[in-house]
Amino acid sequence: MGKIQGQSVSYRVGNSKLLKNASFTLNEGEIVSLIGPNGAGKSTLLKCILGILKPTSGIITLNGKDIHTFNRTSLARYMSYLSQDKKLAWPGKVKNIVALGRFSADIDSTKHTLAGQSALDNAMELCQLNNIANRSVASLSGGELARVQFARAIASNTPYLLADEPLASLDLKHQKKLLKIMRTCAQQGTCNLVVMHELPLAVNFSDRLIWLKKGEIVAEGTVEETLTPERIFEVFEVQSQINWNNGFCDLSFN
Amino acid sequence: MSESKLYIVLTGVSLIVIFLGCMVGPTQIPIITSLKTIFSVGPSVEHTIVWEIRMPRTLAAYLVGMCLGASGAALQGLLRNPLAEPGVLGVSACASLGATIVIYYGLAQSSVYSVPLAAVTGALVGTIFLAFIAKNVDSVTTLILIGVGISSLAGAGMALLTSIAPNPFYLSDMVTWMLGSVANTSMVDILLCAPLLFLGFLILLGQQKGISVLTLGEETAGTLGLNLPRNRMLIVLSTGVLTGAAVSLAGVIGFVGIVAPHLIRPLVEHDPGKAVFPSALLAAIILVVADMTIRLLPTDTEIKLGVIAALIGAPIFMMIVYRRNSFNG
Repeated sequence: MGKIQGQSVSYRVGNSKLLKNASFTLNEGEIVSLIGPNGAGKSTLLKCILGILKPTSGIITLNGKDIHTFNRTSLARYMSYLSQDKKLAWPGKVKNIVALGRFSADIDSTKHTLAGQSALDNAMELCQLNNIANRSVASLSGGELARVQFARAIASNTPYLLADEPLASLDLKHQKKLLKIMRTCAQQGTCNLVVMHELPLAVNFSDRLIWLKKGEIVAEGTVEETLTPERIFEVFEVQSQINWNNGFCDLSFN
Repeated sequence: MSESKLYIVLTGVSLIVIFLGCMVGPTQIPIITSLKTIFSVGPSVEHTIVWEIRMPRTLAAYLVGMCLGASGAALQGLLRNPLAEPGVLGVSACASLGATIVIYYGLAQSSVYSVPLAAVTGALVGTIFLAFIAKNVDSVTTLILIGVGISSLAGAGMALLTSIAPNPFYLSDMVTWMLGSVANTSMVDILLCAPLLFLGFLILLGQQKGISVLTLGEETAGTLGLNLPRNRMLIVLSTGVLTGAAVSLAGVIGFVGIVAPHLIRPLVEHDPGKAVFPSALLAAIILVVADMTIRLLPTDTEIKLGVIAALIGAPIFMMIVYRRNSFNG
């Protein structure tokens, strides 16, 4: 598995700098949360890593090579993406939507390969979708649809999974379910880079945090290294108290 | 229904309606005689009626339906919009404008090829312009709006020519073209369009998987390895070529490109890529049946195919829009 590294990545639209000199490293088997207030540049950073946006300066490398030198299909074999927008254009069956995740992997064959079928089965199993495999996505709840999209992303079987607010608008039970799936993926070696708005969840379920404010990475490291009331105030401008209890972080905000 | 079963049924029904299309008309020809005529050579009144009149118009209706059905399904998949149709990108209007210009200047009489060639040229001008735009714009909405602009501009051009037509015969020709008909189609017209049809379908064949993955949205489809600008350009090009071929054969015929994909999609589990070719076959069947209906109606003047297609298609279209759920299925 290749390593993704960003060196002094900046992205600008007109006069506004959405990302300023961001440097970072993503390693296998970890869950990294991108946290910060609205407009901090989290989604922009994610899209730069995915190659959707081209940095105006700086470089993002995969295996030491600029990601923009990879063609779309090769890049798709390294990274899968879970967009903020989970709506689907047509009400296809669950199993067919999940199978779309094999697009780049099986692009040269008319049917799924054995490895592809196994990746699909694994994704369906992991996201507990086998009992609704033949249902139309039009009949699913928000939580079920989120699981379908997650399964579609992991069906690609890529070493990197980049998710933009995967927990948004999900209830606590479904948030927990998705985080559990993400942890299983990390244990299988996938690096999960996740944009998170839910700070208490991010600090308790992530291996590392990347703190962003106004397009700048203000801190990067493990939860224990970077989580302080001062940092929370610096990034979110909110007073907070942190209590550690048996390895679980209890955050309260004033 | 499995995909192969669907193709078998549609192909079977296609053969039946094409045969019926060769039988039906004001002159009664018994079934046995029709069958004999189709598979025989030699001069006879029946042979002339079947081979020179009914067969060309039936095949023309079938091929026009195929072009419009496939174009509609492909455009709906590309734009992720169930209301998209070949006319939405303005190519139909460009093709019609080309034909109208030729009729207006009285060039239609100079050669039998002039009107079809003008229509194809108009469609290709519109298509090439759109393909160029599609390569350079990121947003489908922008593409649709440019299509609407092209359509309005070409429509205005046609309205202008119709309103100042110096010759009432030219005016009648132009109106016929704008209403859509396959009544006077010859085998030569069909052969002239055959390479375009072949090219259009050949390009579309390679885009089916891309159309399917667009279900997830452009951004996600791009991250899954879909070459978006190329995919968009090829779909626009193929639908433009197919629409141009359809307009050159029959003039402007609406709704069938919207209705057929709507009816097919539930049968292919709402996979927009898998809907393209079955939609082509269903739209072809619909147009042949519509053309037969025209021939059987006891009217003094034959109703135009475009009119009957709209009369059948518009209520079905409205019903589909009314009944469709939040997924626009």
